[in-house]
Amino acid sequence: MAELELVPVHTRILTHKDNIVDAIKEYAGKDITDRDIVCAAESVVAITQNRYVRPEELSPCWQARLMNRFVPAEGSMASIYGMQAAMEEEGRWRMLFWFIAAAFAKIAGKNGLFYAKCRQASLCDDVTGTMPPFDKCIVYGPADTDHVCEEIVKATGAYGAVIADVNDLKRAAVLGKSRGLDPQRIAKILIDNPFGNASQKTPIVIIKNFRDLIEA
Amino acid sequence: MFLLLTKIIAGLILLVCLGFLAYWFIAWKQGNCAFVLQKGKRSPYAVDFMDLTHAVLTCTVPIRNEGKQNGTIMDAFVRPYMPEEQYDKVSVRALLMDTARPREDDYWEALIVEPKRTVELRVKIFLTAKGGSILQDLEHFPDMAMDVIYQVVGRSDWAYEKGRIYLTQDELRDALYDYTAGGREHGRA
Repeated sequence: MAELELVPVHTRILTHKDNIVDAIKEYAGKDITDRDIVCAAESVVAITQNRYVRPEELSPCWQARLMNRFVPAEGSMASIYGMQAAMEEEGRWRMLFWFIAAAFAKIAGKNGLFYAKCRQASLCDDVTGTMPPFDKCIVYGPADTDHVCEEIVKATGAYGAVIADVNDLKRAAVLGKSRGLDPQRIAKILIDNPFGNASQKTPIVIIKNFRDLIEA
Repeated sequence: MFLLLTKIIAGLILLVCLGFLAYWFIAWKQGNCAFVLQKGKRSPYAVDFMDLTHAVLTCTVPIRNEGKQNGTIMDAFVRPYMPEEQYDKVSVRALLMDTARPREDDYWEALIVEPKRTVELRVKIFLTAKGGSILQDLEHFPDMAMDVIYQVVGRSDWAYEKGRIYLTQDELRDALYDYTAGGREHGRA
């Protein structure tokens, strides 16, 4: 049985003019077999979907200014623009409602309600969160993630595909997957961040021989 | 009935006012980032490179977040002010970079600066002689102002701020002298 192997794929900087499926075919197509999983970095998928905004294009509302003051300094919601960007997707009143509800839930001992109910609040990458030239932008979480994964499988003939959010702090989450994959299992495989840091320009990782692991 | 309604409206207005007061108090207490270009701590200019028609000078100047909150320097650049009306023998261009992450492409990579932390900026000035000899063409170069301009964002709205530094005639002369004297000592042409 061939061993599981993680192969980062180097690409040029992908922009909103690129299609992530075409980019994967172009840069990794020849290396992907029907035994492999293709993993795409969530921020790059979002960028190819034109899901980013410059702070200068946003007008923060009073709800964003208010809520922002109760968020710790670390994280994208600490900026009024990060908060406003998430509100553009989630709705300002909805976010305010869940923010207040989450405060009561926290008092009752339940953490994380706000981020669970307002997904963009946890998925948005604030300024500096992505590599140049997108370091001056707020990048949203990607859209239609499962559909994109199915498209990748169809185009490359891979065993499966995932869109993952992984960082150097040993945090990995699978945001979208093709049919039949266990997201927790893939997240564990990606925990050491094979995508590297942004400047390494490796937004695609192939998990080689994954099917062998399943069939073993 | 009218009196009750008036009391309810007055109560609501009072609540909204209290809310605003509480918000402004929290905002005041939390503070924001506050970047200060520490012009007094600028290093002396030094010549990085020189040939017959070009001279490249550098200096460093720290910028410090004196505020209570993280601040992001989204963009930063330096703008030299040397109009042709004042001096037309040399063309001037300048670059600004983060000394810790130097890059020559004139691109400022957005950077988070924690409270009470300092970032060292490097200013690089490119002087090109129009008359064929950089030393001759710099002979009467006047004091030149440069604005270090930075776009910052913290807990509140983004803003452009700037601080002014100078390359004086004396500093330029000293830097050129140090380089050419050092060159003689070290066998440079």
